[in-house]
Amino acid sequence: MKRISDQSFERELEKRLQELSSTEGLYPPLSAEVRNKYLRKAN
Amino acid sequence: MRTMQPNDIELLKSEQQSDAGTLARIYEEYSPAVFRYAFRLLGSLQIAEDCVADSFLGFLTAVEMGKGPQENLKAYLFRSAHNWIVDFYRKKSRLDIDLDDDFIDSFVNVEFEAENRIRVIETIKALDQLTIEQKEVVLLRYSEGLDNKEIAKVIHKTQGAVKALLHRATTSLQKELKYETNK
Repeated sequence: MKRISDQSFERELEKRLQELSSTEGLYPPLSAEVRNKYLRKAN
Repeated sequence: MRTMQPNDIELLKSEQQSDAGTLARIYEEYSPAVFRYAFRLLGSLQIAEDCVADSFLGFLTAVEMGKGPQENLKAYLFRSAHNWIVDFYRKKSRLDIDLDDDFIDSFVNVEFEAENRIRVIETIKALDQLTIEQKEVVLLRYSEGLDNKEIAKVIHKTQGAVKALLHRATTSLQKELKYETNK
């Protein structure tokens, strides 16, 4: 067990979730098909 | 973490909202975050893409009809995705199940330092122990930077309910990640 304050744990959680979001290659890219469908409709 | 910027508010209020360039910018700005959110909650690339496509096409339809978002574009888009996901689980009767296999599989091929890899896998597994609702509020709060008021709008609950969900979720995550907080 690692001892930590509630506030520090919130910061740790935020850091961990930011790592998930920012890790390059972790998520497959959203397909161009979705983007193209949206842009066709937007035009 | 990105918060609502003044130009987003201007976008919502201006006549440019239906301009093709502006609509394209909205997609580029928000679709990656909505996709991450959907992917983590749905655990499938294909299903998450369907969610993003329907959410953004629905947004365009609303704008065309003059019923687009008036006050918070980011919360509006996440709410559309939330509604889609709730509907998906309702139809499939698949509440609180683990669908993160694609997510873990995609990670296997990522070049990444071993220590960071362990941390990321730990985080994913801890998130997996949460209910869908708990996972959703944690992602919206700590990954996408929405405040409790915005989250309440996204998931159609009161701010008190959001606070309670977050409390239960963080308590569970502390345990899963082996942290002990000083009370």
